[in-house]
Amino acid sequence: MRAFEVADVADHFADLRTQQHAARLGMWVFLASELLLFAGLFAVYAAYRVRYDDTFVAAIARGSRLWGTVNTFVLLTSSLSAALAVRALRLGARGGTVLGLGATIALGLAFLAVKGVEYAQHIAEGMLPARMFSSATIAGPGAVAHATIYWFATGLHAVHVVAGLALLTWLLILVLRRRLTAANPVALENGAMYWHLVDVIWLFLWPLLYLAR
Amino acid sequence: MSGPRHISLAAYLWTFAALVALAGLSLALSFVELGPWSVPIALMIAVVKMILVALVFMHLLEQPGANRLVPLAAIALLVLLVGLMAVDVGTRVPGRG
Repeated sequence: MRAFEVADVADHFADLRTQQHAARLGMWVFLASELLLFAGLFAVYAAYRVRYDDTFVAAIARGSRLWGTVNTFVLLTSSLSAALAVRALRLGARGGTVLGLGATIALGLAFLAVKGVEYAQHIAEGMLPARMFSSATIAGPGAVAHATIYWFATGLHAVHVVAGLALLTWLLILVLRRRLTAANPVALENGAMYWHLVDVIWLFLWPLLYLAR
Repeated sequence: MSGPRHISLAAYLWTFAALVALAGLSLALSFVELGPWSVPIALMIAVVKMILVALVFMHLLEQPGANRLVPLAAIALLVLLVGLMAVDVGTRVPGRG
């Protein structure tokens, strides 16, 4: 298998640059579809937030602003390390690429660990989606709607973090095996773009689910 | 097609500094009583962060204009969906559905 070597320009592309442009454009189209997947959840949030604003404010105030904020800085830093990994690969610095990708993967795992601690707290408090909801301190349809949206939005996001981690780990293996080099960095650029999307989605979930009270 | 102008190390680091500062602003504003403005203001700051990530970390600055149309179209559709949903629910008269 020599998937990412320099000479691999598919027959239907005039040259490598055209092929790389198509790969980047295709990634943007994929990320746009990912954004629209989350759009449904943002729309549901808008509808219930407008309808049950007071309950949402109370429910958000019960969450952990600290853990949400820690995870925001974790993901922002991981985006920087992913971008620096791409820069290192383009410059032909294999060690820097490995370091950047390793840091990004470690930070992604840290994000999931923090999220796990939060989920354990929610489960202990009975702040669960839909019919599983059993919180004693906050009640009503607005509180159930909030808990359901919270679990679906952060859950779908966490699934994307796991997918991003798997993708970055695969790319790290390709870099270590010298299959990805400065001659054709597009696979790593696109993998990093997926990770940045995960970061951007969180930059919206964080204010909506932790801050706006 | 002109050759790609690669984003400099300084640009990456400044972008990160700006993102951290904006996140600090988001956090600080969450301690301020903003009432109905809390969500719109928080979202506006998030949009600025998103633009920074897309232009620099996702290298949109280096890429041809066609690529910019794709995220712009997706965001326009998202704004339409979320905005109209909020307007719909927010303007319903109680007792009339």
